[in-house]
Amino acid sequence: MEGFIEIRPRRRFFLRLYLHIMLRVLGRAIQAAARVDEDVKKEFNAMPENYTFSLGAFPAGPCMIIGKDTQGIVRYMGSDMEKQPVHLKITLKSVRHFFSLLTFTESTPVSNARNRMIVSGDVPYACAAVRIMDIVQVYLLPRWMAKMAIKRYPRWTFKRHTVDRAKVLIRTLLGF
Amino acid sequence: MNTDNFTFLCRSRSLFGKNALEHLPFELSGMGARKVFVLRDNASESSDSIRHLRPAFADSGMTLGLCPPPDQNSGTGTDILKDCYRTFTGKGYDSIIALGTGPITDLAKALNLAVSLGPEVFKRGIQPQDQAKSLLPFAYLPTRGGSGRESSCRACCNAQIFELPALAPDIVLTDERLMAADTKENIICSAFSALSVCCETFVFADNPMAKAYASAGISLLMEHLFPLLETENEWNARPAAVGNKYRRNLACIAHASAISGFLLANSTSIISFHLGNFIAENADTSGLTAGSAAAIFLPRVLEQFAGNTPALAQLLLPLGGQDAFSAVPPVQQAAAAIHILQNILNRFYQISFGAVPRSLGDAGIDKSAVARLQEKIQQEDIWTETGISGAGRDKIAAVLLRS
Repeated sequence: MEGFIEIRPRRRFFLRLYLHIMLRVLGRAIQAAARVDEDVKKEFNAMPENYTFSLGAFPAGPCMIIGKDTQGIVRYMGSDMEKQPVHLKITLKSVRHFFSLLTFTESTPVSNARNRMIVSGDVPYACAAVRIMDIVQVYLLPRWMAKMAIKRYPRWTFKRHTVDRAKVLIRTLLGF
Repeated sequence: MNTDNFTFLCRSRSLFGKNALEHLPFELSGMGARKVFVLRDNASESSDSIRHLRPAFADSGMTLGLCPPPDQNSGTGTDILKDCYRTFTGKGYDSIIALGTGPITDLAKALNLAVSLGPEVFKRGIQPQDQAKSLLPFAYLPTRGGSGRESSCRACCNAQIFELPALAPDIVLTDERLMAADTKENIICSAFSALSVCCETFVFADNPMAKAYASAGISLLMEHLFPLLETENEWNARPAAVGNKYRRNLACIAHASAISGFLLANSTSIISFHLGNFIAENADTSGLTAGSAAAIFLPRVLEQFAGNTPALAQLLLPLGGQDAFSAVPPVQQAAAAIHILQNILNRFYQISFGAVPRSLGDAGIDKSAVARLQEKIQQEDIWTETGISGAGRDKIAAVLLRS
């Protein structure tokens, strides 16, 4: 057939690099927030021991895995889904949608409402994971940016906005 | 409403809205697709839709095979189909995307039949055992309004008509970025066809699911048709510059047209739609499209066949909105619904400076021509298909005379 073109759409290197960096920061921040923030602690306490969840993009996009061990310590477990069994998978339908989510052009509730996410695993824990990510985003991002990423900016105490935020940011940077 | 006994089958998953195109690789891979064969028409070229389709498949791990749009030099439909069949099977494709409307979707459906059931299906026709077979994944991505047949389970190939539930697209994806500038006549034809199908289904179908689809289609048309066409000052100006608002409104018309296709797949007795197609094919006038003809017949068909029934009164709700529905007393609601339909025609007649006819007379069909068409209609077998008996045919004669 004349004029027939076969194309294999390429992988977008810079977009994936951005997502890798963001997921690494987000993963370490969740680990830090689980040690500092009471609400995040409560959400993780409700999860069973050795429970892991992931956030990634379909089909082989970047992802992050967060897990809770037998002592109840929350850890960022990298991105290798083959090494680590995952109990709950939150998957965005495309890398582009994931990029929109992590560039905060589309908030988590909007992304969910537009049917961009699929969950395989327990829905209550998926809701808990989304709540945890919302809290962590408030810690990580300046107010104007966090407003785009979450549904409603929370009313926190002054200590939580300053001291706890500083603790989370330091722990995220140092990775403990 | 009879809710005791009804069947409604919509095989297509509808995806609509902002960045909906990026959902396509996920949906197709869920059906086992890895290599996608893309058939496209000239409208898709003008809307530059491939520029959006390629990034949507980035990082998906899927391969796209892009066919050139068929043109005058591509030979007959059979040649194109054979060419597509050879390429499809030779390169191991496993799914089809039809990017465009009208003939390109028929070609995609015919190709799907050929690769799934074998090319001999065109000689032997569809057999009863084929009804249970499934075809390859097929997605329809409109770039214009369309006729509604694209999303139905019917395909027309070289004057042969194939009807099979599996022929309906698995995915109907309407993304405003894919919309191409279209002529006003085409937009009106699409919208009026869809309006006829939706209104008739809403009034005559004893099927709550069909009514729900029809109501959604009517609401989409009523909300987006006038903003799409009234924004332009000059009726005879070239197609509007394709802005976001234009694309958004056109996408809604395309979506309503796809809904009318789902309804067509579930009902054969859409009188004004069939009558419109028949008149457009047989009348000696060039200015009358099937959609416009169907819209002319629609108020008369509703008057003749529905009278003053509650179903016709309820049509006022999707047509006029909640305010109009609650403002009109129940005994006047049927007449108000007919009045709105007639007003749509009158309004378009006015803004198009007479290009969109309000009646058969405006389209250049006089009483003697109507009598000739009436005779021809009685001889045709389209009424066997629509299930209209002798008494119904008399009413159709009255519809023709009053239109």
